[in-house]
This record gives sequence, C-alpha cells and structure tokens, in this order.
Amino acid sequence: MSKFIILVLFFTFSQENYIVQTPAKSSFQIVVNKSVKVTTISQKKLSKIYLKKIITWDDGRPILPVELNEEAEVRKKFTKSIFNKRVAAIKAYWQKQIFTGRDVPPPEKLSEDALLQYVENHAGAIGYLSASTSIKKYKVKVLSLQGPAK
Amino acid sequence: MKKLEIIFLFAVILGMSSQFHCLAQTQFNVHGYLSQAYARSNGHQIFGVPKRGTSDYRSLALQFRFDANLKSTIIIQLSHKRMGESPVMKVEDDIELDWAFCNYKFNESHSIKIGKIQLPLGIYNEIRDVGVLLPFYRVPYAQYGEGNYMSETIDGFSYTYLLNKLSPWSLKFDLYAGQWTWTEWALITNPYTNENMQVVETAKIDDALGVQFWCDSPLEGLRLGFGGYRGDVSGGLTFSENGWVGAEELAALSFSLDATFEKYFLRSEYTRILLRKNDAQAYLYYTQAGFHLTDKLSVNGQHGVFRIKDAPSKTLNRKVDVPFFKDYAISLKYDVVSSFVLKLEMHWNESFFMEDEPVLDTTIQNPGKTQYAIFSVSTSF
Repeated sequence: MSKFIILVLFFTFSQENYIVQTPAKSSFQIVVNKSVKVTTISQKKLSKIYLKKIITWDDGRPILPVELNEEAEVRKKFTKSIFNKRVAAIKAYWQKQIFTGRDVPPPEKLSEDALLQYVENHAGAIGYLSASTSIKKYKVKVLSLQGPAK
Repeated sequence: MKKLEIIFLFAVILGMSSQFHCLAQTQFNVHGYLSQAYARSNGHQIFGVPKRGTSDYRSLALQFRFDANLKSTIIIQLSHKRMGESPVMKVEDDIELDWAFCNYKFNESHSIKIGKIQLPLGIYNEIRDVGVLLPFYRVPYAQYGEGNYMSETIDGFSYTYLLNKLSPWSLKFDLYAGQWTWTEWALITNPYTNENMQVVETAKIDDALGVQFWCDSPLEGLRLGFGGYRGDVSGGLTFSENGWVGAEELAALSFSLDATFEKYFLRSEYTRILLRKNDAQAYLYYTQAGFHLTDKLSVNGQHGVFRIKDAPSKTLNRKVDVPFFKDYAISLKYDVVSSFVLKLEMHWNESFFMEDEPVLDTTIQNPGKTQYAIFSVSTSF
C-alpha cells in the first residue's frame, strides 16, 4: 500500500515539471501578434497566461489573451488540453475572480476570424484556433507548444 | 417592489441579455449577479423564512470596474438584498454600496486594495452572495453568519502577496486592517403587554488586524488555508456598555480545507473565537461535500455547528456551554449553463435563531428546531 502511495505522489509531483519537446499533433494552434518575440511556449505558461497569473511577456509588454466563445469546439479542446478541466470549471474560476474584484476574463470572440483580427491588431495578443484554420491572410505568427497538449 | 428596486433589477437583466462585457477587452466592464428564491419553513421562522413561505428572497449586485491601466483598478459594487421577514431587513436599504475600492498591482506578486474592500476570510467570504458559485443559497451560516461577528467587507486596506507562482506549491497571503460592522437582533417580550418585539442593533469591530494564508498544493484543486484576526468590539446588543457581554477584545483563528475536483468537492472550515475579557470561546465549523451526478447535476450535503464554550450564565451563576446553532442540509444543483443554475435545498436546523420565539437565556433554554426549504434560481454575467 505504501509503495502505491509513493508512486502516486511521485507521479503527482513529477507532472508539474516535465516538458515534452515534441508534442503529439495538436487539435489547435497558438497564434500571437507579430510583436511577440517568443517562438515556443510551454503548456504550463500558457495556462497561467489564460488565467492571467502571468500578465507580461519577457520583454515587459502586456499579454492580451483572447478566447473563443463558450460553445466553440476548439475552446473545449483547448481548455481540456491546457487546464485538464471543462470550460464550465474555467468559467467558475472567472466568476470568482470577477466578484472578488480581482480580474476579468480574457475577451471572447464569436469566430476564429474575429479572433485573428484581434490578435493581428493588438500588440502582445495571444489566441488559439483550430489547427486546420488557415492564417495566411493575417499578420500573426504561430507559436510551437511544449507540453502534453493534444 | 419599489421603483428603485425595479430599475436596479432591470439593469441587471439588461446586462445579462447584452453580454457586452465579454466581447471586448475594454477599460470599463460591468458585471452582475442575481439570485431569486422561494423559501418556506415548516416550523419556526428562521433567516426570514416564514411558515407560509416567501418569494421576497433575493440577492443581486451590479459591479462597475474601471481598469485605468494594467496596474490600477477602481471597482464599485452596488447590491440589493431581501431576506423575507428577517429582522435584519429593518436596517437594510433598498440599494447599498456593497464595496468600493482602488486596487494597485505593484507587479504579479504584490498588490494592495484601499477602501471598502471584501474581507479576505476563508473560502466563501468574498463570494458570499454569488449564487452560481455556491452549492446552497447562502454560504454556511455556522462560519459566515452575521451573528458570528462576521462581515462581508472591511473599511480599510488589504495587502496581497503571491509566492512561488511557477513552482508546484504556491502561497497567497493577505494582510488586512480596518473596521467592520454587523447586525445583531433579538426577539424580546414586552413585560407589560406580553407582545414580542424585534430589536435590531449594529455592533462593530475597530482596529481590526488580520491575516489569511492560502497554500495551493501540487495536486490541482487541493488547497489549505489558515487565518486569524483580532479587534476591539463594541455596540450592538451583545457588546454595548449595557449589553450582555460589554465591550470586548475579540480574537479569531481559522483553518480551511478546500478540495475541489472535477467530479466532487470537499470543503471544511473551523474557527475558534476568543472573547478575552470574559474568557469565553466560540467554536464554529462546517463541512460540505458535493458530487457531480452528471455534467450539469450535482448533489451536495452540509453540516454546520456554532457552539459557545464557557459562556457566563447569570442565572446559574457559573459558566456553561451553549449549543447555539446546528444545521444539516442537502441540495440538488442543476447548472443549465455555467452562468445559470437552479438549486433545491432542505435544511434541518436546531438553533437560537428562531425569529418567532423569544430567547430569554441561552444558558438554560433549549434551542428551537425547524426545517426549511429553498428553491432558487441564480444567474450572473
């Protein structure tokens, strides 16, 4: 029994630190404004950005995360993959942040086009969209994701 | 319903229907919530819930938030609250300033709030009326009831420090100072007419100083809390010069466990309150557990206790323990969507909070017993 507990503890703690350099093919892509200097991002950092626990890029510029609306299939996948939670759980987190006066959630866009426009027009913006969506007509760049995102 | 209340309700509903708040990252945001309930007791009246039932039971708020920049924010929240026929409604205005403060973030770790701020105490104190987040209509009374020297807000300041945000463990520390008030009421019998009368007074705590620590464990969803405060209490029915206890120095210590996972949660808090001059102590604790039967439907249970130890009894001329409050409850919660939930709950209560039965002496009397049910609809935007 004690071996089992040690194994569970080891697994729990080790989850926090591993980085998979070549992730499995993701069902979404991460896009950022051209002004953003980074080229890769870890799953952990991405989750903190979307919870606004990290609010600036390494160069000090503010990070502007943007979401798709609650019903978007890619949002469900992104949320499950990055937070390992349902969208409802993340919504509850933001309700708490709002009504304790701490912060407000990232803005939500009704379509991927609207999201891409936002990312293109706002320095420091970051968003996600379906892996199959073409971004050629927008001046944004794709970040490669480090971590166990699927 | 008065005109002002109707306008306020209309504004909240308008905000919910427009949802303009989430479509753009603007400097100015408006948010709000509403919980409307029907409540009925089958014995005594308690928490404003009469035997014949009431739908005059609601809580709503409108929040106006202005982010001047990434560091500075000004927030004002107005609220409207109805608790049926509760005595505390006598001192409740139609619309009240819930809280208003300036928040300044020095960086990602340090921030400060100044004004009428939420008291950062325990799991629920800062969200005590946000129905969509609660498994029951109200937060556990044993811990957060106004009769337990508690308040939603403090007039003063708080300083927040977040430590080790990037490590598996993280620590949040709040330091707060200032003053707060709460409402006390009692039902007394007029000796000449034999009629019962409700007496409502406001007590306050001055020079309060407190801390709240939260430790997030690497197991996501599990966190432990520890807090405490002290202050000088006066006024009201209990702490006025001619009151039951008189002015006091109050100190409180509390422990919190919050385990919230995808399928279930377990929350428990324990607080010990010391009244130094009278050498009396109160113990407050509750445990809540919930389980998601489906993605939308959950069943929740709750048990809460408030006991006073070594209460001075003038009648018995000695100190005695008083079982002040005990409540068992179960609820069914249905999340239609994350911002619209329905709740049906049943409570079994044994306490001295019966609003239709005068309490002559808690040290020799038995607490009253009643059951009450609440059906509520909560939404937010």
